[in-house]
Amino acid sequence: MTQTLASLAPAPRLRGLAVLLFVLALAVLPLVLPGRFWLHIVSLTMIYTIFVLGQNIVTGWAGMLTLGQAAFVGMGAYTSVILTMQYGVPWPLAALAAGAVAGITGALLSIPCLRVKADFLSLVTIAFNQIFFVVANNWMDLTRGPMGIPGVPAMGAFGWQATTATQQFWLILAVVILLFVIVGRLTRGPIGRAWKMIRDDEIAAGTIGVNVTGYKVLAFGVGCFLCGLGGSIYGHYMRFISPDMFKLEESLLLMQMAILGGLASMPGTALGVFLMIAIPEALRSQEPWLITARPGIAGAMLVLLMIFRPNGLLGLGETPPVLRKLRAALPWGGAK
Amino acid sequence: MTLLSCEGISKSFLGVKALVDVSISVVEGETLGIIGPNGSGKTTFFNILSGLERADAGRILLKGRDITRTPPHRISAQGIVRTFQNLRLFGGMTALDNVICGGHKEAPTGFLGQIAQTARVRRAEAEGREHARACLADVGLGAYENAFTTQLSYGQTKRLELARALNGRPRILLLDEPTAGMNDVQAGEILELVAAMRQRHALTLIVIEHNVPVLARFADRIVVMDAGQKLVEGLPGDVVRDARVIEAYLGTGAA
Ligand SMILES: Nc1ncnc2c1ncn2[C@@H]1O[C@H](COP(=O)(O)OP(=O)(O)OP(=O)(O)O)[C@@H](O)[C@H]1O
Ligand SMILES: [Mg+2]
Repeated sequence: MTQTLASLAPAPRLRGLAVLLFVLALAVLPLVLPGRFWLHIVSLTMIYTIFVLGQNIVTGWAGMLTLGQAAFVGMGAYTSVILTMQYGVPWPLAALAAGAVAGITGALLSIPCLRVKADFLSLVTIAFNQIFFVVANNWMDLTRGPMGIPGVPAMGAFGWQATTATQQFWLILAVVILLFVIVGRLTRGPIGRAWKMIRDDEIAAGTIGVNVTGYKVLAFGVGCFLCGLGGSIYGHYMRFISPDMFKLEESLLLMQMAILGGLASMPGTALGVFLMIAIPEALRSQEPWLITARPGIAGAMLVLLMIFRPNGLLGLGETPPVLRKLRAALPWGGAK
Repeated sequence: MTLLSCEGISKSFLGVKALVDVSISVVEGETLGIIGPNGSGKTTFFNILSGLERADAGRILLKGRDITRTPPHRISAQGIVRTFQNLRLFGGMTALDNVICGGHKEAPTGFLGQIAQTARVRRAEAEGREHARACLADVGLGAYENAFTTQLSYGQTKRLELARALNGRPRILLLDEPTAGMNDVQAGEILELVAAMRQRHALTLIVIEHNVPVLARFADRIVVMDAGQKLVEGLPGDVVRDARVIEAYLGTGAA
């Protein structure tokens, strides 16, 4: 029985090859896709993947139900846009600052919550999202309020700017690959294991020698850093930001994508975004109702998921036999 | 030489006196057995020792150093490792990953080192995995590396938790009813296993156990708890003959 289980997961080398092929296919997309529209869809999907990766570190790996990640995306976006436009900071620096501001805020916000009941954290992050929205909407001098900030400069560095859709696509792809490599290394090692221990059994984790509070704060810091960094890319890619891009509804969507694709799974993260962003956006003009109905569809999918696949489509843990067969056929099956 | 000494530990929960002025100490290399009826405070004693609960009064000294208010992860770092009466395994991981987790203290957790995957980090990861494999094999679960905890039998999960604790390189190992729910044969096997580990790793052991005859063969000394108090303490042979013990514990039909 354990033999068959082990043989279901593809050999690491095979998985590596599959990932490599997938990345290569992505990289040549701009050369084969007809027109800007499709490139935009894929770019947007990749940007959302960064947000959901941040959400997934906090929720999937470390097991904390945070419902305000959009606020950290927004915080990063505003930090980066204001730094570049008002202070002339080069984009790469501004993007790192965006991640740092969001990450540090997230870590600080989590500290008082961790000592009390877990539900409290969800409430605080929801409240934080609302507060962020109100501040961004009303601090006219800094954010121009609901009018938003137009004319955001494109990403770039050292005098070069990614102005064409293709250049932006490759830049985003490069960042996403880098982040996936980093998160992969973190989560496969002792840090990721400590997060999973906390998720599965906090008390056992503590007696094993894991500084539970420390690792929770670290998860929050890293997760919010990713959201902030992604927020910077988002703002400079859309070339416009406004407070209602970062509302609570957006946070719920991020959470839904993380759960849907698979908690604590990197391929799952990408799959969740593909289902909830790429498909509705691609069909936006033909099937506009898809966007409107997205929260409802997502809700229904989550209910089904809770029943049949509580760990998400590509999530961890035991797999029901049907999906086990299906997963065995996929190159990225057996995600941990 | 006294390794661990607990002096005058008291603990109550909303009026329930779980422990009343309990003093227990162990010397290096010894095996102390704890018996006592349900609710007599045995697990609470372990919880306080491992830092999960804070004592209302009393203090705990490890090699003379006060660890009464030390948080669980630092107590673990000092070599006090435990198992749980009702099992606390990591359900989202395979058996091998559970055991690897037990070795967390040995792993390099530097953030940048992990991202860079330095040679040192990779070597430590490989060594940690091998050590965990060995621990898993030691408890007889070598063939179950990739099984999830839900796919193991109850007896196997008990062994798995033991393997995870052993991979934590304990100096003092606290076992809370390692044979609960097993028949005498299975219980004997587990304690034989623990005895082998005790010898190999030079462990100091504190074992909570209901099976008195089995414990009497296994322990150097036995403490009998009753209603939060230390009722009797002594050599196994003396303890099982003590009238108060027979009255409080064996008399209740547990034997
Ligand atoms: N966290 C807690 N909150 C409230 N009461 C508690 C708590 N932990 C233990 N108790 C109470 O303290 C007393 C001692 O419990 P403890 O679990 O230490 O007993 P035990 O000797 O381990 O019993 P058993 O043989 O059933 O495992 C019991 O009355 C129990 O109900
Ligand atoms: Mg108990």
